[in-house]
Amino acid sequence: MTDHSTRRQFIDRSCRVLGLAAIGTAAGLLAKRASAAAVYQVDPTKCTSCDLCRTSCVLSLSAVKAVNDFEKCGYCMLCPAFMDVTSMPDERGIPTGRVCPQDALKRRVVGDVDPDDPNNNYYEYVVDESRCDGCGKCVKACLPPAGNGSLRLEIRYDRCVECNECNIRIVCPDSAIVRVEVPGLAPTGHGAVSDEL
Amino acid sequence: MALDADDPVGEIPGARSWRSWFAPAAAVAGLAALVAGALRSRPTPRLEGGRPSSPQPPLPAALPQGGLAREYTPAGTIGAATSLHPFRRSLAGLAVGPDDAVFALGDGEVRVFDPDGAFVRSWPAAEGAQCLAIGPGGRVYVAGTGRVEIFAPGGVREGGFLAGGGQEPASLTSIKVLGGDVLIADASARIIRRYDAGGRQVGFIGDRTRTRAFILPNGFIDIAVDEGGIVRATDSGRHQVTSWSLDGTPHGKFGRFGMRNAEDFTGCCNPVNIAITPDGKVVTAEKAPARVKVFEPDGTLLAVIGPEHFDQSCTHIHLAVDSKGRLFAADTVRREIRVFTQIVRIGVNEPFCRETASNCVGGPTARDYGALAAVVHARTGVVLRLTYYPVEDDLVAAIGRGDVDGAVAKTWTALRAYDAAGVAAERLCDIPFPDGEPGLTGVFIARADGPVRALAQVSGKRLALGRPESYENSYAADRVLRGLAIEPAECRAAGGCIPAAVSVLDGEADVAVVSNYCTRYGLDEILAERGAFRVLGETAPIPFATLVVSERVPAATREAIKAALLGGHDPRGTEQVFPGGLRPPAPWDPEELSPSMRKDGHEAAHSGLRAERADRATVSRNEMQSHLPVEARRRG
Repeated sequence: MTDHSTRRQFIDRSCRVLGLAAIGTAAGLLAKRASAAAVYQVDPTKCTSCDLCRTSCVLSLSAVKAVNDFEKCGYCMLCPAFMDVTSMPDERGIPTGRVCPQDALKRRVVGDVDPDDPNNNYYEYVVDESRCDGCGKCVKACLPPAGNGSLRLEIRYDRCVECNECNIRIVCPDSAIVRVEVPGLAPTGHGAVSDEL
Repeated sequence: MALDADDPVGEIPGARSWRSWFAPAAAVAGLAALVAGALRSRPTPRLEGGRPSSPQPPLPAALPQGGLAREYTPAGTIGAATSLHPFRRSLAGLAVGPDDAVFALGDGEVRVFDPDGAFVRSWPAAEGAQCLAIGPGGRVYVAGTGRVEIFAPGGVREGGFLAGGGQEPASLTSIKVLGGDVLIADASARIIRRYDAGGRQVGFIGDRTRTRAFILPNGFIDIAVDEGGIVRATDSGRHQVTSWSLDGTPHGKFGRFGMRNAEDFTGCCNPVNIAITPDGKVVTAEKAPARVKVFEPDGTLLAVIGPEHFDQSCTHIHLAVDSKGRLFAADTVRREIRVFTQIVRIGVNEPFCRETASNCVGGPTARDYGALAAVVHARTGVVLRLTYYPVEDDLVAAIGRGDVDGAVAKTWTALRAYDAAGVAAERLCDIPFPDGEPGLTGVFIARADGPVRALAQVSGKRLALGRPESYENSYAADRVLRGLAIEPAECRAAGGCIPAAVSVLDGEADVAVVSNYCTRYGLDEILAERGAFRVLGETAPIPFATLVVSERVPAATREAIKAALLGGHDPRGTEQVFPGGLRPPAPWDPEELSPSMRKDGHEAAHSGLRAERADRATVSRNEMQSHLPVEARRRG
């Protein structure tokens, strides 16, 4: 064995080392992928509910949906995300217009119903994801100070088809679509979703 | 020589060690790539809340036709970022204590400011404290998450007690101390808890509704207590201000949702904050849009302090009111306390005022009431907004409509106008003639070269009155004639002092009754007939002019104005800017006023006023009938 290496030996060793490094990198990435899923998600601190989520998703009904955080929700009778508070009021003074063009925001009375006084009830608001197209009008209307900010837009993992490059992310003017690592989340089912609420 | 592939070719001594670094370097590069890849896909935390707020578009808020009964104007700021003691992190509770000191809760401290906004002292408050109140002896009650702390006026802790009912510390959003009772708004349980001075719970307020609680989408109740012990609380989910007695009996409510009318409460949950003025008006603060409104206790809107004064992302504007009726509104986003003072609207119609000078007076018509208002503002901070009414009847009509809060006018004019409006008013000061003479009289004049030389000779003569609406020309003159049993043959209204005097010169009347300011200052000059008239007699003097302010203006404000005008201890004294100076109100209680306006009739029930006024109007008209031509009286 000589102490001197030839050029060929040097190239040979270098290639082997680089190959090992590449294999290691790929193995690492695969291992990560096996243990967690990276998905696209809406960063609510950046999102301005600009309506591009509705128009830019490759799905016919966007994978972006409004989600209500019940911890924050005020269960208002006059929910500014549900009712268009600027619309004409009815005889009881309650606005007749709705904010959601898809009628995707539904509400039901919590507890006993007072049929004589709608002001005398709490209301729970839920999003019908089979109708919601992610336009964000309700989210915008719920922002403080008018509302409690309980509504936000989210990319639903069970609907997102995980495009190599998310089209919404490309067009989002606020860089609000971010890649989120979700430990334990199984890879996407590619649209295998139930439309039932 | 053939080359051997294994032979070191072109080997340079020392170069081997340099080549040997390539392999480890490549390995390191590969690892770096791995790490970079891992970093690139680092999980991004899901961020909750903190989104940029998006102020709602301003909505048209229709004000009632004819405007509102009150107006407020900014009068300063306390604790602003540019001040010596700014609120850097937070600003929460607000209260006004003895001597109108302002107590604010912010930056984890209780801070005390004097009425002018100068910092006095501070002491630490518990973190999470949300509200404070001033109790008997100037004790400061601070409440927050489940606990009430009691401090001596100087800031030494004297005690405290736990408040709330559940396992978790309650969210205590408002506290008020009323004698021996401590009222605490528990937003967690959505009710108001009543404690005694020792911290023992003795009752609830708000649990007698169908929901057995307030409806609070925003998790906040604010309470205020008026001088009568009525508790008023915000029920924001119902868009109402509710009233309760201390034992929890409902006393009424007002308010409704609406986005179009100024008196309505907007959005999901308003009003948010509440306070009571010294005269019992209800002050509310709203969010989206952030604004402050003042209501009568029955819900009639009196004033709006618009969104332009507050940060529109404000969800709370804490309120307090001092004894002068100044509103303190804590903008929790800008972290500053805005001070608003009521504008006292004064209508002016005074014969010597520069803007409303009577045509019965000549030269000295240069009184500048604007300078007087400036003196009041400089001394008290009270803003007097002057509106000049050159026609006396226009001022009377404005008082009737409630367009003004007070008047500078001839005393009788002001009193009869407020009497007709059924509004109690107070004379703050009397205004004499420019030479200091305070008394207004009606003067009987005849031609100097005519046959009438004494008052007794007026019987059977033709009498011309100046303005019949003037007390000195009508009631007072009539009293003199009746007292002397003088019966003029004819009595007619000339429409003013100068026309009355001219009618004497022209021979259309034998005697005229004119105001003494006309004879003192204008008659000779205007008619260029110096010495043309002979004075036959005068009526009893009454206060010439006065500043009258409605009792709708808080008593402390009226007192402040009075002190400013009558002070006279300051180099900027009113005498320097106001010829003739000002005097304390001279006693004058004309019997022609309704009992409610007379000093001995202040206790009269308002319900009977209209009928009394109607009767008296008839009497007055009958009295005036006595001035009509004799033929007309005979027909009567």
